[in-house]
Amino acid sequence: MYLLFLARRYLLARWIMSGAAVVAVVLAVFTLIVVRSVFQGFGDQMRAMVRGASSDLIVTAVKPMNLPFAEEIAADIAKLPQVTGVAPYVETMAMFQAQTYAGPLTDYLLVKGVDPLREADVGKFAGYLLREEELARILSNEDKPIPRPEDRAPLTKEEIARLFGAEHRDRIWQAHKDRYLRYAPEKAALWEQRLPPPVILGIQAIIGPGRLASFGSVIQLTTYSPQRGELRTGEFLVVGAFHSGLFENDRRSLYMPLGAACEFIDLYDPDLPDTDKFAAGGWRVSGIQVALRDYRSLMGPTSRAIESEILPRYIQRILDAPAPVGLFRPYTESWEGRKRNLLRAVEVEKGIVTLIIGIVDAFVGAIIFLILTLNVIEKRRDIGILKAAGSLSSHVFSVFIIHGGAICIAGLALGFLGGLAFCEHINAIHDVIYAWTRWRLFPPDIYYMDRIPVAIKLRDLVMITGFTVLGGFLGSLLPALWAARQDPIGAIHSE
Amino acid sequence: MTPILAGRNIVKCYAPGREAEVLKGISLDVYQGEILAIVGPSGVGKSTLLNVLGLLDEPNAGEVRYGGREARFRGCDLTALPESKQGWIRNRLFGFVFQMYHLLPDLNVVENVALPLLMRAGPRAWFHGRAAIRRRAADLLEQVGIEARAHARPRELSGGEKQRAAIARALIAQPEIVFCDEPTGNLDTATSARIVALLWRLNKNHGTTLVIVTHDRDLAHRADRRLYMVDGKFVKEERPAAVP
Repeated sequence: MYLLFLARRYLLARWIMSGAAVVAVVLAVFTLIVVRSVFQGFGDQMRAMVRGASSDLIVTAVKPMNLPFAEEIAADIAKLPQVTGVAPYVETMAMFQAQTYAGPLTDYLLVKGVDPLREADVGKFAGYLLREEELARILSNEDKPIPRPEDRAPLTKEEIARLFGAEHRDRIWQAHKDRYLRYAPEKAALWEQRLPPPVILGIQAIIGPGRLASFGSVIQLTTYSPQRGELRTGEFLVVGAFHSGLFENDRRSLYMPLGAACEFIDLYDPDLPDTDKFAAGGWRVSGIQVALRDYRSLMGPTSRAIESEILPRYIQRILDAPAPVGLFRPYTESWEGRKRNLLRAVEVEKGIVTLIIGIVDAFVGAIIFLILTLNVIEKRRDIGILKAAGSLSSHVFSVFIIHGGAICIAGLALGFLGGLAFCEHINAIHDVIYAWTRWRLFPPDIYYMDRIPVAIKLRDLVMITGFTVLGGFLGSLLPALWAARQDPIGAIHSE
Repeated sequence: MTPILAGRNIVKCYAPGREAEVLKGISLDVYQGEILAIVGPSGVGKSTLLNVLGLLDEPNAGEVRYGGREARFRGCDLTALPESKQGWIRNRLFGFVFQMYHLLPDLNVVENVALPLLMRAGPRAWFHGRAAIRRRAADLLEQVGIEARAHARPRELSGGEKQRAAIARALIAQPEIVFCDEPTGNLDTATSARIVALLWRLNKNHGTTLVIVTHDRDLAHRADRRLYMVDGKFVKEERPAAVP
C-alpha cells in the first residue's frame, strides 16, 4: 500500500508537471476518439452510399455494353433460390447539353438505363427517387439540407411506374413546354407528335446556381454506339430527380428507362445483320444486377453458380452461332469489386488514422517518459533512502510505474469523457462555429454530408485504450527500470 | 561472546584492476549493545565500510556474518543473500543515520519516521494499523524532542531537528544495529552535543548497537570502542576493559 501512497505523493507533489502530462494524454485521447469516430462515420456513410447505389452482384461482359441474352440470363439467375431480384442495366458516359438563358450548357454525365420496377428490387433505387412534392419542397428551399434518403419513405412500385410513365411525362411537358419551346421553336411540332423519353436527373444537377438543367426541361445527350461505331444523339425530358446522398452520383448521373437507353445507344436493332442472333435474347446490355438474400454468405456460392452453371450455356450458344461477333466473355463481380477504388480509398484513410493513433500514442508515451525521467532524476536521493529503509528494486519500479499509470489512466478517463461528449454534440458545436464565423469545417458540397458523420465503435475505443495504455506503460517502463536499478549509495549521495 | 556482526577480509574497490582499493581486506566484530566508533580522516574508507556492513553496498571480496537475534540468518554471510532478504534485514534489523539526514521531502516528519513500518504494512495493516504506526512514530518524536514538528515538512526543520527525525526513523523498527555516518558532521557544537546525548540515551534505553563513523575525536572518545582507520585498514583499536 505504501507504493500507492508514495506514488500519490509524487504525483501530487509535482502536480503541475503531472497535470501537464495528464492534459497531454487527455488531448491525445480526445483527438483520437474524435478523429477516429468521424473517420469511421465518414467511411461507414460513404460505404453505405456507395453500397446503396449498387446491387450485390453483377453479371457483365468484358466488352462494354455487350452482354447478350440479358432477359434469358436474368430469368435463369432469378430461379436461383438465394436471389431476390435481377435487373438488366445499361451504363455509358454521355455528353450533355441543355439550353439556358445564358446559352447552351455542356457537360458530361453517366447515363444509366434501367428497368425501374426491377431496379427497385436490386438496390435502394426506390428510396433515392423523389416524389414530385418532395422535389418541389427541395426546389423551393434550396438553402436547406435535403432530407437523407433513409429519412424518406421509398417510392412504391406504383409510384415508380407512374414517375416513369407516359401520363406523368405528358403532364410535366404541358406544365413546362412554353419555357423551353422558346429555345427551339422548330421542334414544337416534333415534340407534340412524339415526346422525348423521360429521364431522372440527380438532384445536384437541377438545384443551385451551378445547375445543369431544370426540372421539366429538355436535354440533349450524345454518346458513342458500340454497335454502329458512331455518335448517337437523343433528346430527353427531365421528369424527376433522385437523391442518393453521394454528391458525385447526384451531380453527374441520370436514369432513363432501359428501352430508351438501348434505343439511344443503339444496343438493340434487329435489322442489323450482326445482331440477328441476339434478337431472341433482347437487348445487349452492360450487365445484370443481382440482389441476394444475404450478401456476405451467398455472394461466393451465387457467383460460382452463375459462372459455372448458367453462363457456360450462353457461351456455347455464341460459339455455336454461324458467325459469332464481338468478344463475349461474361463474368460476375461483387459490388465491392466494382467499387474497389473508392472503398480502398476509405480503407487507406482508416489506415492513415490508425497510423496517426500510433504516432499520438507514441507521443503519449514520450510525454510520460519525459515526465517520469525528470522525476527519477529529481528523486534519486529518495530512491536511495527508500532502499536504505528496506525497499526492494521491484518496489521502486512499482512506484514509478504506478505514477506513470496514474497519469495515463487519468488522461485516458478524462479524454474518453471529453471525446465521447464532443462526438455526441459535434454537429451542434459545428453549427455554433458556423454561426459565429460563417466557416464550415465540413462543407456539404465537398463531402455531400449535411451533418458530420460520427460512428463510435467499441473496437475503436478498445484500440485507443489499448494503444494508450501500451504507450503509457512503455513510457513508464524505462524510467521505472532506471529508478529500480539505482544503487542506494550512489542515489543517496547524488546531488 | 559472539559478535552480532562480523566483517571478514572485506575488500572494496571502486575501479577494479586499477589498485584503487578503498577497503583492503578489513575485518572487524561488532558486539550486541556496544557503541563502536570507526575513526579516521576523510577518504580512508569509513563510510564505505559502514555501507558494506549495512548492506547498502557490495564488497568485492570478504563477507559479513550475522550473529544477532534473527535465527534464520545467524551464521549467514549477509552480502551473499538475495536482494529481497537484504531488504528485509535493512528494514527490520538495521537502521541508518546519515550526515545529510536524508528525509523524504514530500512526506512530513511523522510520515518520514513511520516510513520503515509503513513499508512493511500490507493492505490490512495499512487500513487498520496505520494509526498505531503513527502513534509509535509520534512517541519516538517525543523521545527525540521534536513532537511539535510532527506535521512539518523536512524543509521547515533546522539541521538538528532533521537529524533527530532521522534518528527516530532509524529506531522505529526497533533495529539491532543503527549505522550512523557522521551523525554530527553537519551540526554546530551545541546541536551536536544534544544529538550525541540522544544517541547514547537511546543506546542505554533500548540496547541498540551503534556503529558510528566519525572523524570527530570527541564523539569517538565517548564510544565503548574505537577503531582507527588509515588508508583502507584498521591501524589501532581502543577497547575499554569492560568490553570484550
